[in-house]
Amino acid sequence: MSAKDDVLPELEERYQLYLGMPRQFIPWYPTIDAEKCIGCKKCMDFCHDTVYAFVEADKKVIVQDRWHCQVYCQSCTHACPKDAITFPERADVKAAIRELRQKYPAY
Amino acid sequence: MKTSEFYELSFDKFGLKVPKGYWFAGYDTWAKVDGNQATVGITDFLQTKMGDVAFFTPSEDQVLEQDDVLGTIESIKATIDLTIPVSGKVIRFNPQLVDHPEIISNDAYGDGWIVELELSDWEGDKAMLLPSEKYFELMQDKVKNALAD
Repeated sequence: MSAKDDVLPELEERYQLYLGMPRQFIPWYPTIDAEKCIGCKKCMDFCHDTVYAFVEADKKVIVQDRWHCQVYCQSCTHACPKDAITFPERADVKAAIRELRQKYPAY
Repeated sequence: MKTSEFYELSFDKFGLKVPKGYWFAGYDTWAKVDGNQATVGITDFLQTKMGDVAFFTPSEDQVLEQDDVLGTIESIKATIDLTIPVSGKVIRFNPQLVDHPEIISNDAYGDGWIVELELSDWEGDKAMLLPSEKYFELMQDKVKNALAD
C-alpha cells in the first residue's frame, strides 16, 4: 500500500470530490506571478470560489485555496489585466484525471 | 434540436432542469450522442450563473480532444473558456450563435447547442462523464452551494 492509499479515505471524507475523485489529486489550480500582480483584485471579483485572497501588507493577491478552483476553469485569466495568472498544461491534468478514474469509476 | 424529458429540481425561486439521455462533464458542458456524432452545449446551471450571453467565439481547431477549449463565451457578467466533453472532428458550430448568441441563455439544451462533432473516442470519453441521472444527483449539492454564495 502506498502513501497515497493511506490518505485516500481521509481525503474522501474531508474534501470535495470532482466527479467522484478526490479534488486534491487533480493538479489544476492557478499560479500568480507576484512580480506582475498589481493587486487590483479583478481575479477575486471574478472568482467566487474563494481561491484567491488579498494580502494587505503586500498589496498583492495570493492563491489561498487552490483546491477550490474549478477543474479546467481558467476564466480568471481573462479578468487579469497583467497576465499574471497561469494554469498547468491541460494535457498533464487530463492524464492525471484518467489515472484517477481507474481507481474511482464514475458509476 | 428539441429535448423532451427532464429531471427537475427547485430551491426557493431557483429552478433547474437536467435533460434525460445526455452526458455531462464536471465543467458544465454536455454532450448528446447519436451514433458516431455528438452535439455539445453548456448546462442550464452555467448559463444561469453567467447571465445573458452576448458573444461566442469558437475554437479555430477542427479536431478537438476531450478537455480542450471549445471556445470563449462572454456574458454581461464574465468571459469564460468552455471545455469540450468529447473528442472528435468538428462538423459545424451552431450558425445561429453568430447573430443570436442569446439562444444559449434561452435554450441551453436545445436550440442553444454550440457544436456538432464526429466522435473519435466515445468509449474513452464516456468513462470521464456522468449520465443525466448521476449529474442530477451532483447538481443538487452544487445548486445549494451556489445559492449560499
